[in-house]
Amino acid sequence: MTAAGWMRRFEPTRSRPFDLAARVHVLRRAVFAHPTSWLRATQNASPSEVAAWLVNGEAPDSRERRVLARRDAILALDDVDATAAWLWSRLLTAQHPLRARMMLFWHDHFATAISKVRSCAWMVEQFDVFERFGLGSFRDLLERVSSGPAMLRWLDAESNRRGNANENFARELFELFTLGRGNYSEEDVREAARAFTGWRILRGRGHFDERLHDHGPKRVLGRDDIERGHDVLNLICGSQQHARFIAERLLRTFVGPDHPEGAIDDLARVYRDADGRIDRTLEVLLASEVVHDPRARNTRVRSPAAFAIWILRTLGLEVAPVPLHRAVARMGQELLEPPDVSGWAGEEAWLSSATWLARVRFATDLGRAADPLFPTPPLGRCIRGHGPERELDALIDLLFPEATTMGERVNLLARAVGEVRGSRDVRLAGTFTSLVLLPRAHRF
Amino acid sequence: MRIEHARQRAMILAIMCGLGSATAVPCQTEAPQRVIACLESSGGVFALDAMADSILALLADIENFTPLFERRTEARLEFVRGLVASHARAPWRPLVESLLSRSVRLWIVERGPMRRTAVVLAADLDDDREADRHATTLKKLFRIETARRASTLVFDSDGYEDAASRPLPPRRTWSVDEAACVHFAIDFEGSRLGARLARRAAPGASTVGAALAFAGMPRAIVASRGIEGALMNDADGIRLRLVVADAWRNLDAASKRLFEASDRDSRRGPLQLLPGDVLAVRSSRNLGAFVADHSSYCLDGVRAAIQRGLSRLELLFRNQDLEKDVLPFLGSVFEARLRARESKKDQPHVGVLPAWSLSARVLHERLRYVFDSVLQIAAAIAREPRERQGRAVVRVEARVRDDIHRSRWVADVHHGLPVPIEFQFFPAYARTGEFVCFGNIVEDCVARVARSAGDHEQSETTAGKPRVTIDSLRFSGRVAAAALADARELIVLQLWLHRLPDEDAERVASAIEKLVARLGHIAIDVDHVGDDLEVVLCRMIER
Repeated sequence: MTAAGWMRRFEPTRSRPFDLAARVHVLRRAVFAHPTSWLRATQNASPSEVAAWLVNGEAPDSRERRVLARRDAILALDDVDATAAWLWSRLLTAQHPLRARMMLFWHDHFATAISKVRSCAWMVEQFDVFERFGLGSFRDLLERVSSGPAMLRWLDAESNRRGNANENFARELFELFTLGRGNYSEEDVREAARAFTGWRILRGRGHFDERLHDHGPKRVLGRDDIERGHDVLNLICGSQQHARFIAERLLRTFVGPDHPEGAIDDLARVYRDADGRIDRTLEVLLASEVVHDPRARNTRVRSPAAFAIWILRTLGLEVAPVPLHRAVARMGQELLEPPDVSGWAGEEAWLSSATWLARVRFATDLGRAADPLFPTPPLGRCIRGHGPERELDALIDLLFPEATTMGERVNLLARAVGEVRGSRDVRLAGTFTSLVLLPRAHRF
Repeated sequence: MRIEHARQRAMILAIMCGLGSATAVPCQTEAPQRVIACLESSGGVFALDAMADSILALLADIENFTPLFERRTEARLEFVRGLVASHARAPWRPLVESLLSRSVRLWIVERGPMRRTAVVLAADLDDDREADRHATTLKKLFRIETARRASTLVFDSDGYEDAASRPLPPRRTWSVDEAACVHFAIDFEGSRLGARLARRAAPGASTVGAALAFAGMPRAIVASRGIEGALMNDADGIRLRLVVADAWRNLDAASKRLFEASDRDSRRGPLQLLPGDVLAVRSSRNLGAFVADHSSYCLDGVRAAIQRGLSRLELLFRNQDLEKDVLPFLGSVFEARLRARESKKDQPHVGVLPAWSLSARVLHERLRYVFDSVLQIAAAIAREPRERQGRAVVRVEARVRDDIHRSRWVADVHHGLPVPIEFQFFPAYARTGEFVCFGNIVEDCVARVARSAGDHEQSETTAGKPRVTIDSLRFSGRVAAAALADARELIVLQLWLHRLPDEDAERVASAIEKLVARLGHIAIDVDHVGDDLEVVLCRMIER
């Protein structure tokens, strides 16, 4: 596989070591969190080994298996909050955190909202597709998502019939899912829509009905040999522009909005060489020069999901899923309900006065270990050490392990108005809240 | 039976709560005392038998429920238990058991216009040191509680010697239930308690449910002389009998019309649980009278809510005037049942919830056919939003077999998906003769109700006065616990989703099952006997 330019493997040097701070950075970018067990698992590993560890993940443990086993019960409840909450618990217990992260990534990419889909089962099925194919071939993922009932309902595929083509799906396929604006014509959209005619939902599944399909000749992106939807998908996924589109999307996510321009072509080449496989592309990207460039650190705004996952997984806190789902929704990221077909705006848009207040409330609720999130005080269980200074030290060690120099710690200590009075629970709550509300806790 | 106390061994503890200030008039003033409530227990086996397998066991089991409590509540319970144990120098449970096994007398005394209520407690104890120890523990507990409520507390035994020794006026129940181990009485007449309750009851019912359940009963109760009670226990369980003298006579005419059953309905035999029943409730309510007369015992907001409800319901009844054309022709006795049901192996249910049914008599033949269409219209109303939400569309399936007309909601489930929980509540309707039944266990319900209506019993009498039952409730803790076990996965899921970590959710679900099983067989009857109102509560041990 060609990994040149910005995609060349990061080789640590004395001036740019692959130290704790570098590992914490790559873990945050890839999977939002860095619990002690993950830092231990990647100790003494090279950048490539860390990338491989992330891509390979681990088998589900008993807690994750218990969550997965509740699938039928959740579907039987047929309740949006319960479904979203259960998906949250899947994200938080996944022993393959990168796979879970990619579920969120694809949920944003193929933004589908339950307010229109109106079926918890179909949304869960779409998440299952994200989980199963999200780190595999993009072509396979695209085909599964496109023919799933959630997407068929979301982009009105059911009304896309011979002689009365509905262009919604074809337009978003080009613009948001595969090529990007300016890389197709209106004629391409109309012709592709005809190629996708015939799909409908039958007994809760996507079903292709020959009788409703437009069998006439079609011309898409300059090619005449197009008959059905999968021909369009093959054509798009083989194109150079599509590779650039996916590369740009991955760079924006794992490097940041200000990634170097040349990195797009470098990553697009990797993606093509990997036959469109996301896992192989990410393995190169996460070990590459561009991700490890010190200038890339702390350039992204933590999304509400990233903020919640960072705290919960890093500290090992267990929260009730429904209140958690509602808290993250208040912060501006309601799972199963992206604002529109283009997903969440992200970055600075995450931080408005309203969503900031929601972050404060979330941190306060977690800190004070009270209803509605906690029946018992979890902070006290996961923080070692007694006494105001040791507790503050322990919290910093967990949340900001990269702050290893005295200067950095003093800086954090000065900013975090730690509680020195009250019981241990009260002290921990106060210190925790002031730490996670520091400006640097909202960037990664 | 009156209890003779060995005075030298009795511990008397007077507690005054909520004085205006710490410098208020001392207890020794000559302000008149008035005993507004009293309780006399012959002690012995009563307390242990009545409480051992329920309240005491629950207290012992409290740690299983702690995940449900707020931390402060849990801490307080632990503190109280610890305090009791440390002062008594004995584990808390034997201490409580020993206290309750003695003869106990308790008075609640109102004293003078400036003073609040005082509680006087007397118990027969074997030695003075033990009495002192218990008194100290109780005082401490009350002191802590008073401090928490920011009120003032005065302990004074001497000021209440008089109250403790004063004989109480003879009571009706005490002569009737001579074998009772506990007698108690609460006086409303002329007491501040009665006046306060009367003020609260005066405006009338504040919700539709309260209006239908109680109508003007609260007013009638507080206008009565008071409540008397007797608690009896034997090997089968305990029985609590409450008598509100003259409450039925004080009840307004509109409320009486609501509670009075028609002649045919009133002659039904006593309510019984059938095998598999978790709960059975039978109530006597004349809905026609309710709609016509409710304004005399409801607040204005409730009247508006009833009118809104009626206009919505009229849609289901083909726009017939419910007030004139439907309700007057309904029987006045309604029976509701909750039954445990077995899961069918071919259906991928994640939990089995109890089934329900509601049955009644329909007096007018034409109306029975109107009821036939209610389910059809409800299905038509539900269809559109369900279709819009992508949910399984419901249709009504009707058939007639063995003279029973039956129709039910059915919906197609997508192949391979678990059956949504809501399907377990989908209603059905059945009719035979003059009986109709709504619910999801209508198959045998309507036939059974029709059969039981034929089993007329001679009406019971007490002291020559006829006993007329207004409400009856039967509950089986054992069957309820089994039903909870069937729905365990769903209970754990709900606890986990909203409140608790996995292990705690499992623990709480088990504790709830255990607690419900301990409730045993419960029967509650609300009757009127002559001018009085009687409530009888039985808790039988299920074997």
